[in-house]
Amino acid sequence: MTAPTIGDVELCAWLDGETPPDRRAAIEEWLRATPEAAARVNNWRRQNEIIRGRFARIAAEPVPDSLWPDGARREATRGQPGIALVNERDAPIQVERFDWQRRVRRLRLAVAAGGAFLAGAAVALLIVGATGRLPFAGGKPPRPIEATVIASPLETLARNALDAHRTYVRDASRPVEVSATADVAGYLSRRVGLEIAAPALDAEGAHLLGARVTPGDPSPNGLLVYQEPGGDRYGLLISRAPGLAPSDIHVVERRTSALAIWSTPGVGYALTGPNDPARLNRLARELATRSPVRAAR
Amino acid sequence: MIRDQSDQRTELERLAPELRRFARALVARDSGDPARDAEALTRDTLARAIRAERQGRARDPRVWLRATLMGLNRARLKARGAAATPAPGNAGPGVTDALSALPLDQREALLLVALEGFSYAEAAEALCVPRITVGARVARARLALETLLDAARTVDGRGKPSHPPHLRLIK
Repeated sequence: MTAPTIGDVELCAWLDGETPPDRRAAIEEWLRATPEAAARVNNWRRQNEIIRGRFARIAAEPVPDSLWPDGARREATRGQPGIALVNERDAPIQVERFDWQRRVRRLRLAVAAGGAFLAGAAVALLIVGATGRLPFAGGKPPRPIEATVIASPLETLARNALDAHRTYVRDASRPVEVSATADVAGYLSRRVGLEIAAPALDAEGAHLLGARVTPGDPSPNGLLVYQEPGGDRYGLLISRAPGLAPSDIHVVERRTSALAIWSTPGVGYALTGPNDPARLNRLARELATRSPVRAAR
Repeated sequence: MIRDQSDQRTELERLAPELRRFARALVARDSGDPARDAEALTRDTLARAIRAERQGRARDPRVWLRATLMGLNRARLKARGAAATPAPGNAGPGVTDALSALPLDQREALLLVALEGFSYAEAAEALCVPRITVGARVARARLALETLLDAARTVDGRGKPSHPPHLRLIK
C-alpha cells in the first residue's frame, strides 16, 4: 500500500459530502482498498440512521400549541391549512403548508365580484389589490371589497401563472412572441431584470417554443413555453420578487391544469401544464436544479 | 410585492417540528425531565424567533433557530451548575443515553450534521466555530459513539462488539 493513510476526520467529511471534488477519488480508492475503513464508514452511516430513527417521531408530530407564545399561533393552522387559489371556474385548490386563510376568504369574495368584469378589468383589479393603488386615473372605481385584497408574492405569482397559462400557453396559434431560434435568454433577461437562461427540457421530452413577457410587478414576468410531441404545453413563469424567501416546490392540481410553484431568494417560479401533478413535479425539480436564473442583475 | 409577518410565521411553523426534534435530541437524558426541558427550550426559542422577526432578521432561519436553542441550552446547564462534559461511564443501553454521554461540543456538532443534515459550513455558523472544528468534533463524536453503542450492545447481551473500539483521531 503506497497511498497515505486517510484519517477519520477526512472519512467523516467524505460521509457528510464535505470532501472537495479533487480529493473524492483518492478517498473512494482508499475505501475500496481498506475494508476496515469502509466498515467504519458504514458503521457511522448506521449511527446516522439510528439517531434519525430515534427522533423521527418528534419531527412528524405537530408542535403542541403550548410551545407557541400567546397569540402567536394563527388560528388558520388549526383549521384547514392551505393557500387557496380561486377563480370563477374551478374549485378552490390548496397547497400544503401555506395558510393565508383569512386573506383567502377575502380573495374568494373579491374574485367572485371580479368575475363579472372583463379580463382587462380583472387585471386592473389585481393591480389594485396588490398595490392598493389605482393603476390609472378615471374609469369606473373599484368596489370597496377589491381594495382589501392583499396577495402574498407566491399567491400573486400562482394567479399570474394560471392566467398566463390560460391566455398564452394554451393559445394554439401564437403562444410566444420570441421564438426559440432568437435570443430568448437575452430578451427575457433585459425585460425581467434577471440573468435568465432558457433551460432545454428536450431530455424530458419537451422542446422550447419560445418566450414572452407578461405583466408583473415590480418588473414584467418572463414566460418560457415548452411543448411535448403530443401537443401538451408547459409554461414556466419567472418573476422578480425582491425579498421573496426560498421555498420548496409545491404542486397544485386544478381541474384541467396543474401548477408547481417554488422560489429562490428574490425569484419566484411557477410551472403550469396539463393536469399531471407527478410529471409536473418532475419537470419542476429538473428546472429547479437547473436554476434558470443565474444571478440578479 | 407585499411581504408581511404572516409569511415568516408560516415559515416558522414549517420549521418548528424539526426544531423541537433537535431540542429533544440535544437535551437527550441530561436532566431529570428531559422532555419537559426540551419543550421549554423549543418554546423559548420560538418566542425569540417571533421577536427577532419583528425586528427583521436576514439570516438563514434554520441556522438561527439552532444557534439560539443551543445558546439557551447552555444557559440552562450553566444555571443548573451542570458540567458541559458529562461524567463518563454512566451510559445506558440506548442511543439517547449514548448521546447524553457525549461532551456537549461533540453532541451539538454531531446532531447538527447527522440529525439536521446541516453542511459543515452551516453547522460552523450555528456553533460560531471554524468549519474545520466542526469536522473534528463530528469525527470525535462518531468515534466516541461507536464505543458507547458497542459497549451498550455488550451490556445488552446482544453480542460482542464487531471490532475493538477506535478512539484514535488521525489528522
